[in-house]
Amino acid sequence: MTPWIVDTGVLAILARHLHRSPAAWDHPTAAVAPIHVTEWVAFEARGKPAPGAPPSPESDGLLRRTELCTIHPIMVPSAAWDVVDRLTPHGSLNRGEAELIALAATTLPDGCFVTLDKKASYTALVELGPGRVASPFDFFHALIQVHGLHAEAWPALCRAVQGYAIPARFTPPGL
Amino acid sequence: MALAASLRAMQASFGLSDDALASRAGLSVDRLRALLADGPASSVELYHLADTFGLEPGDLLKAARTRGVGARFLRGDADLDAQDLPEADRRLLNRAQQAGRIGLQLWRLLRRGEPGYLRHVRPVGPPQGHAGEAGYVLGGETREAFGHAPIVALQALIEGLGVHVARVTLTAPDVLGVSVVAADGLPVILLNERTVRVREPLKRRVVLAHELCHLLHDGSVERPWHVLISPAGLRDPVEARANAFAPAFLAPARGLDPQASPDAIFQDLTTRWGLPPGCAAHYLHNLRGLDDAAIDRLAATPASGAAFEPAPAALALASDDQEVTPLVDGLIARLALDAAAAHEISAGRLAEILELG
Repeated sequence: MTPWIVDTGVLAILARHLHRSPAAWDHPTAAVAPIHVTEWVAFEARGKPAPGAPPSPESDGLLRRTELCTIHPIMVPSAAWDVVDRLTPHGSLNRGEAELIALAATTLPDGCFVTLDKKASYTALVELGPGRVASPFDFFHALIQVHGLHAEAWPALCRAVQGYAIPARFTPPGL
Repeated sequence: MALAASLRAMQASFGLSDDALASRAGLSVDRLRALLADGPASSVELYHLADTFGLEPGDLLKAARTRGVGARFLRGDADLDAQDLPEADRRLLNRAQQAGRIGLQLWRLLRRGEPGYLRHVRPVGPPQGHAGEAGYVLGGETREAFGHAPIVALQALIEGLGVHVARVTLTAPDVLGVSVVAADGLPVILLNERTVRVREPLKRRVVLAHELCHLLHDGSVERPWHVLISPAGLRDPVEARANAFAPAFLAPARGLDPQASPDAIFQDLTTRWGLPPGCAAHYLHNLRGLDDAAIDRLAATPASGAAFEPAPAALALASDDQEVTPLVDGLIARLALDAAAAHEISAGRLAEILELG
């Protein structure tokens, strides 16, 4: 089962949907959490709260569901940190994107990186190779097909991926 | 090992207790002490600790190995102990260095060639003889490369050369401007918004021209990275030269009518060349000789020249909610927006740069 390594933008779309429609994913079907992020990405997704300040409730609600999400620390030093250090600080990606690619490169070798960003997608393709980068549509589709996310969520999630038409392979969705 | 040693070095350098450092980094004191005892850190802890000092994580890890990441701080021509600066200002200066590095990275991603300021860099060493006269000569010579017409927007001209100008608030009330120069970054001029001379456009032109003198002529390319701090009223030959450079650069003597009366030249300096009255009066005194009463009378003239230093065009942000910090607002923010539009950096990286502060 593919571990999905998910960037903040995609995570926010899913979190917002689940915040509005909590029942959309009330019975995850997999034994292993499908969504993987790093601690920094979780911190960003929660709105970088100051110590003691409340986090953004939408992302926090999703990230707290351990049956759905696994949060990985990137330790210093480690092989993953070496990748982060190479991709940042003055490169083309932000810390979160660099950490997720590093996580995929070193800790989750069968993981698939998901982002809305073209530059991050391309860099991940270069770093991870073919088959290791997917669109948000593939990710949402897999959550519905494999992980028990209700099919009714599909149109709203697709609409939320702004600027994208639903790819031809998903029309008609058949979900 | 590297992190613990670096942390201890930076903690001592900033004079922070364990409690103070832990509090600033959002860690418990026990957790900080575990890291100081060579315990492994997570990247999030490293980011927060580095941020406390205004550093990138990589720089913090290297701090012990490179015997500190601090710049050589200069006040006038004299070395300044960095620990004499307020903690918040030192953090800001470290951040400014980082902003300069990002700026150069963006400049290269956009394939802009060599930054233009490098064509004008000419270190001249400490002034020999009268510092003011040396500044007038240097200002006039430097100005030759920039044409004969008045400079309406000096900040735009400087930014066009690849020098970032940021209007920030420094804790030290006596500092007008700071030039931060790193071999691996674009130069950054910080203007202290706390001072009246920075808040008023005409006076700000003079401070900017003063900092330009430091950048181009005070050894800027010879040191790995250094910070030139320009305090108000410092009696120092390097500062005196930069003070004289400013009006001579903005209003070169060759552009003034030698047959005109002092009042007519004063009028020309304040309206056509964009000097503030006080600066114009003293410049005129040094060019033509004026008595104290005339200097006082002219310096008290209300400022004119409202057309100078027009506000830059608004940044083309994707969202009204996007924060742009004062440190990066200007050249670096525009470079980042251009790089994002060209898909040279990710949208997440753009946001990270615009939030740097």
